[in-house]
Amino acid sequence: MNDELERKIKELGLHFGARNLRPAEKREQGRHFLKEVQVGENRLGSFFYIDKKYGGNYQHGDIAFAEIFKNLSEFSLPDVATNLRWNECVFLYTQTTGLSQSAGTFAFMVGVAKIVDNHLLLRQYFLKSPSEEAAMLHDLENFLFGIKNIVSYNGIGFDVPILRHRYILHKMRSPFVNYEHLDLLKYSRALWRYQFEDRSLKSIEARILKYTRTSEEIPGWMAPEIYRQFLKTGNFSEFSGVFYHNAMDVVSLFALLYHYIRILNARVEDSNDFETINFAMARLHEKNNNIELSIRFYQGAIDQPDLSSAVKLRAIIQLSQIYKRIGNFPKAVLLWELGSELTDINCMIELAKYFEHKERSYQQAIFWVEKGLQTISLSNDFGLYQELSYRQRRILQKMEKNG
Amino acid sequence: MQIHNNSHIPFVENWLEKKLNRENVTHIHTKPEYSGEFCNFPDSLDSSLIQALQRNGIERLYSHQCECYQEIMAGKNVLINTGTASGKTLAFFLPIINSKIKVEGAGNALFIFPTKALAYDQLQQYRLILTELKRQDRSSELEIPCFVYDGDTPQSKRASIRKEASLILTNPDMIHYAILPYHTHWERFFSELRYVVIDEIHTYRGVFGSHVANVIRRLKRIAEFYGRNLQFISTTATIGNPKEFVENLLEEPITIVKENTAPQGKKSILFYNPPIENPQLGLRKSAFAESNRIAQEFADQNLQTLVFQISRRSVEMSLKLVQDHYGKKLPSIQAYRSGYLADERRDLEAKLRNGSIKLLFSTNALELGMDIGGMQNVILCGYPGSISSTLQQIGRSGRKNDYSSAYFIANSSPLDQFLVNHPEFILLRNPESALIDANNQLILLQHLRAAASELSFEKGDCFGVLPWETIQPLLDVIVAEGSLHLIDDRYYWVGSQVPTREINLRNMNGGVIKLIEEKSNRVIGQVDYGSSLWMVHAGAVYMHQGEEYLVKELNLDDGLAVLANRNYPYYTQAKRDTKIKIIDTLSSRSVEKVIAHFGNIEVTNKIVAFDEILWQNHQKIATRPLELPEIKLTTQAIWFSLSEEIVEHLRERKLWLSNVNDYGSDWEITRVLVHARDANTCQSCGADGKQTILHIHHIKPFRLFDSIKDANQLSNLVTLCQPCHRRVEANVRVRSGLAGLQYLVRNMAPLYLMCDFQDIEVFSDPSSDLCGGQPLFLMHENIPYGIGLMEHMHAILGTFLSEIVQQIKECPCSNGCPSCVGPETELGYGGKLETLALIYEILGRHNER
Repeated sequence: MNDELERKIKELGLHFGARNLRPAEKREQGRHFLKEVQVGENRLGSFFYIDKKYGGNYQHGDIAFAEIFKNLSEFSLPDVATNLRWNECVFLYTQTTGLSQSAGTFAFMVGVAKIVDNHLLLRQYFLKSPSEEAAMLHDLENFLFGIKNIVSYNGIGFDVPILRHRYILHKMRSPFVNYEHLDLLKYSRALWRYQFEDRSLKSIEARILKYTRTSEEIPGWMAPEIYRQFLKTGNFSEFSGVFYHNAMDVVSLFALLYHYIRILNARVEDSNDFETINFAMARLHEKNNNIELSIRFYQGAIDQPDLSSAVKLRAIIQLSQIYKRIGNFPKAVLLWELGSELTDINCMIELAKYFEHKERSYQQAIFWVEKGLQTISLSNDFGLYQELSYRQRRILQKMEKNG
Repeated sequence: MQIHNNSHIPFVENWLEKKLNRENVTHIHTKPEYSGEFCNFPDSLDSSLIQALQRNGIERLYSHQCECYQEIMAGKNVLINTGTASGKTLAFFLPIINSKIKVEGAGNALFIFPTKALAYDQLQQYRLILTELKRQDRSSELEIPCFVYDGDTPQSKRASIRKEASLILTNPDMIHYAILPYHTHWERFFSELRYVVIDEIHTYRGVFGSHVANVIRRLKRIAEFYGRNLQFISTTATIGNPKEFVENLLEEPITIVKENTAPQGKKSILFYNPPIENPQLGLRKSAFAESNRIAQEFADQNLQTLVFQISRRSVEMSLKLVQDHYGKKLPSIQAYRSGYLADERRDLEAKLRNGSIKLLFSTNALELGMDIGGMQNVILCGYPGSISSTLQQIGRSGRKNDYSSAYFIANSSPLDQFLVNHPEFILLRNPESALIDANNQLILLQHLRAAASELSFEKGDCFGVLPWETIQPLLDVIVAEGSLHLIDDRYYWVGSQVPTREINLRNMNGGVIKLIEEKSNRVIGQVDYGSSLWMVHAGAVYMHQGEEYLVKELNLDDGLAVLANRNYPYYTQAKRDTKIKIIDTLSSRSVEKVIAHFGNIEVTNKIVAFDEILWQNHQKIATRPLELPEIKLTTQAIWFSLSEEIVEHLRERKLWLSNVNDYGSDWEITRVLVHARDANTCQSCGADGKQTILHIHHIKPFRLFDSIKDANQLSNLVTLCQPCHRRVEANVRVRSGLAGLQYLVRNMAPLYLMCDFQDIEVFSDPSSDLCGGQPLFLMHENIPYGIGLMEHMHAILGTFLSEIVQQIKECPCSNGCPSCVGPETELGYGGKLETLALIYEILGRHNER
C-alpha cells in the first residue's frame, strides 16, 4: 500500500493490523440482540439480517429525528443536482474483510437505511457464512428499489465499488449503476479541512453532532478479525459490538446529512462555534463559482475576531484576488493594506503593482516595495527578494525618466 | 593453430591478416547466404490491413510468417521459434489484428513481455500498423485501442485503460500483482479476451518460470470465469526443448513453427581465445581488453559493431577507453544499458537502425527482441551465461543482403574456456533445456493462495492440470492458516490482505530484505531472507544491475541492508559451514563406477566468513569472519560416494612420485630435527623408527608454498611411517581431486542445466558420515524443494562428467588454474592430475592419463 493511500485511510480513522486488538468482552447485549435476528429467503438461498426503526422520538446527539421528519421537503447541496428527496436516499455503510479493492475483499456486513413511513428503517445484512452472499446481494437489490441517491462516507471510493465487484463475482447484474452519490466525506473534507485533522465519521459525529457512542462500540478496524474469529468458533455474542458500530455509522450518516444540508445551504455567514467554517464555506462557494456567496463568507471570515491570523490572511488573499478579477480595485486595495498590516509580502507586492501600473503613482509603489524589502530583512524568508529588488530597480528607473 | 578460413568475407579476411588475430582464433564457422522464401498476403487478410502494411513498405511476407498466420487463424496455440530477426512480431500481430477487424466476437489480446523496455519497443512497432489502419477510416471502426499497462503507468490513467483497451502490453509481474487480483475491474477486457501472446517465453525458466506457469494457470481460471477460452501464442529463442518446455509452461498442446525463411547474407562466427600472458598461473589477456581492441579496429574501418558485455560498468569503461583512444567523444560511438532513460534508449536504438551509430557497447539489455536491425559485427565479450543468450547475441549480427560476422571472445572462466575450444556446443549441439516445475510445493502453495483470493475454489476444481486431490491438501493448509473458510465444500477467502503482495515472481523465500542505498536512502532492490545471508552480509560486495555496492550493514530484524555505491577491484564470496542430512532417496542408478543417487536432503547452512577475491585474476586477498544465524533448506540433490576400490586405485597411482620435489639444501638437517622432535615414531600409528622406515610429511602440501623455507617450517612437518604416509597422501589426493571436481562442476553445471550459478551448490567431503566415512560428492539446488535441476543432472551425469573432463585435459596450465580445476594457490585446490585421475576412476577409464 502506498503511503499516500495509507495516510488517506488513516485520516478516515482506520487502523492497520490487529496489533492493538483487545479481547472482546462477553457482553450482555450480545444475548438480547439475537432475538431481533431475522432470516430471509429468496431464490439464491437464505440470508440473515436485523431490521431496526428509528422514529420521531429518537435523539442522535444534538439532532432530534422528529425535527428531520418534520422537514422532509426537497433539498439540494452545492455542486450536485437540486431537488433531491429524502425518501429516495439510502444510507450505506459496509464492514469488509479488508481494505483492498481486490476480488478477495467482501462485505460481511452491509448496513442500509431509508425512510419508510416517518421512520428511518435500518437493515443490517450479515453473512453468517460467506456462502450467503448471493442471497444477501439479491435482497439488497430489492431494498434499493426506488432509490436514487446513495449517501455514504467514502462510499464512492470504497463501499460501492466493493459491492459492485461482488455482483460481478456472482454473475449478477449490479444495481449500483445509476445512482447519484452523496459522499459526505467530500463535504466533511471541504468543511473541516482547516479545523480538524481527524475527519473520520466517528470523530465528526462527536464534534459536530455531539454524539458519543456507548461502551458497546467496537472500532471498525477490529471488525474483520472478529469476523474471522466468528467463522472459526461460531460464537455470535462477540458480534453485537460490530452491529452497534455499523448501526451508528448509518444513523450518523442520516443525521449528518440533515446537519450538512443546513450548513451548506446557509446564505449568511455565522461561525457556529467553528472558527474556520466561514472560510471553508467561502472556498466551497468559490470552487462552485458562487462568487457572491463566496465574497460574503470571505468577508465574514475576515471580520471574525477569533480567526487565526494565518487563516485570516488566506481569506484576505483569496478575496482580494476575487476583487482584482472582477475589477473592484478599491476593495482589493483595502484588503492588501490589511494584509500588509499582517506583514504579508505578497500583499505589499500587489499594492506596488497596483500603484505602479494602475495609478502610476511611483512614490506609493516604491513605498510598498521598500516596505516589502524591509519586512524581508526582518524575517528569515528571502524567497521574494529577487522579485522585490527587480521591481525596485524598474520603478526607480521609471521615476528617473519621468523626472 | 591452423584455422581454415572459408568465409571469403572481405573484412573478416582483412581482420585475419593480423597475426595476433589469426593465431588466437580457435574456430571459424561460416553460414552461406540464403535468398529467402516469400509468399503473397493471405486471401483472408483484410484489405485495410494490407494497405497499412504496404504503407509501411511491406509488400509480401516470409513463408514462415504466412505459416504462423494460418495456424493462428485456425485457432491453434502456436510457438514461433524462427530465430532472431525473422519478423516474429508481424507473424503473430497480423492474425490477431485481422481477426479483431474481421471476426465477430471476442478479439482482445494480452501481450506479455519479460521487461518493460520490450513492451514499449513492441508498442512502437504495433503503432506503425495501427496508425495506418486508423488513418484509412474516419468512422474509427478500425481504431484499435492499444496500451502498455505496467508499473510505470500512472494511477490516473489506469482506469481509462481498463475501460478502453483492446490490446494490453504488460509483464508477468503486473498480471500477477495488478491484474488478476483485481480482475473484477477488468471485467470488460476479460469478457472479450481471446489471445495471449507470450514473447521471449524462454526467459521464463527456473524459479521465475515456475512462478509464471502458475500465473498462467490463474489467468486461465479467471478467463474461464468470464467465459473465455484462451489461445496462446509464444515466441522463443533457441532452446533445447522448445515444445516440451512451452507445453509444460502453458499446459496446452502447441504447434511449433521453426523454419526461418527470411533472407540472410553470408555470415562468419569466429571464436577467439585471448593469448596467455602468464603461463605459470595460466592467466590470459582479459576478454575485456581484447574485445575493446577488436572493436576499435572495426571502428577505424567504419564497420558497424555491437559489443555485448557482462556488466554495466564494463560498458561504461569501454566507452571511456575508446573515447580516450580517439581523444574525443564521437557521436557515432555510444553505450547502452538498463538504467538509461527510456527516451535515450529509444534514440540509441533508432540511431543504431539508421546506421549513424557505428560502435555501441551494450549489456544484455539489447539481447532480447528490441528492434535494432541487423548489425554488421557483433562481439561477445565473454560467455553471457547461457547458450541460448549466446545464440541471441550472435544472432544480432546478420544482414539480409550483406556480409556480417560475430566474435566470441572467451574470458578465463572454465565455461568460457570450454566453449571457445568446443564451439560445437554453441553451433551444433542442442542448447540447454529450459526447466520449470510449476508444482514445486512452495510456489504452488503461494499461487493457490492467490488463486483462492481471486475466485473461490469448490470441491472437484482443478488448478491447471492439477486434479482436486492434489490441490485439496494445500487448500486445507490455507484453511488452517485462517485465510480460507471452508463451508459446503467451498473455500472462501476471508483474509484481510491481498496474498499476491507477498509473492515475488522473481525469487522464492517469503521474507525479503530490502536493499537501501545509503546516500539516496532509496530502495534499489530486494533479496529473499535466505539469500541475504550470503549475498548481502556486512562487507559483501553486491552487484545490482551491473553496479557494485558495498554492504555496510545487514539488519535482519528490520529486514534491510544498507549499501554504498562503490567500485572495488574485488568481489566477495561467502564461506559456509554446511551440514547435510539425507531425507530420502528417490532413485539410484549406476553411472560407470559409482552409484548416483537422487533424492531429498536438508541442508543447514551457516555463513561463517567471507573471502575478498580480485576480479582481475580471481586471487583471494582476505578472509573475514561473520556471525550470522543458520538457515535450513529442504531441496533436491544428487550424490555419490567413492568406493574403497576407487580410493585404492588412486592410492596405487603414485601420481605424486612422478614429480619429486626439491626440498632444499637444509632438508637433511630439518629431517633429523623433526624425527628427534617426534621421538622417532610414526605420529599416526606409533610405529618405532628402529623397526620401520620413517618419512616426513608436509601437512600443507609442499608445492603450495612460494618458498622452501616456509614449506619446511617445523610446524608443517610431521613424522609418519611409510604405510601411514601413503594413506595420508592418498587422502590429500582424494581431497584435492574432489575439490577440483567441485570447482569444475560448480562452474560447468549451469551450462548443462540452463540455470544461474547461484541456483546450485556443490559439496564434497573426503570422509563423510553420510556414506560410512567414504569420500562423498554431492550437488543440490538452492531452490526450496527443487525445480527439477537435479533430476535432470541425475539423468545426464555420465555424459556430463565425460564432457567436462575434456576441459581439464585441454587446459594448457600445468597444475590447475581458474579455467579448469581452480587456482593452484588455494589449499585443497590445484589438483589437476588428481582431479583427472578421480574423474577417470569414476568413469572406469583407469588407463587414460
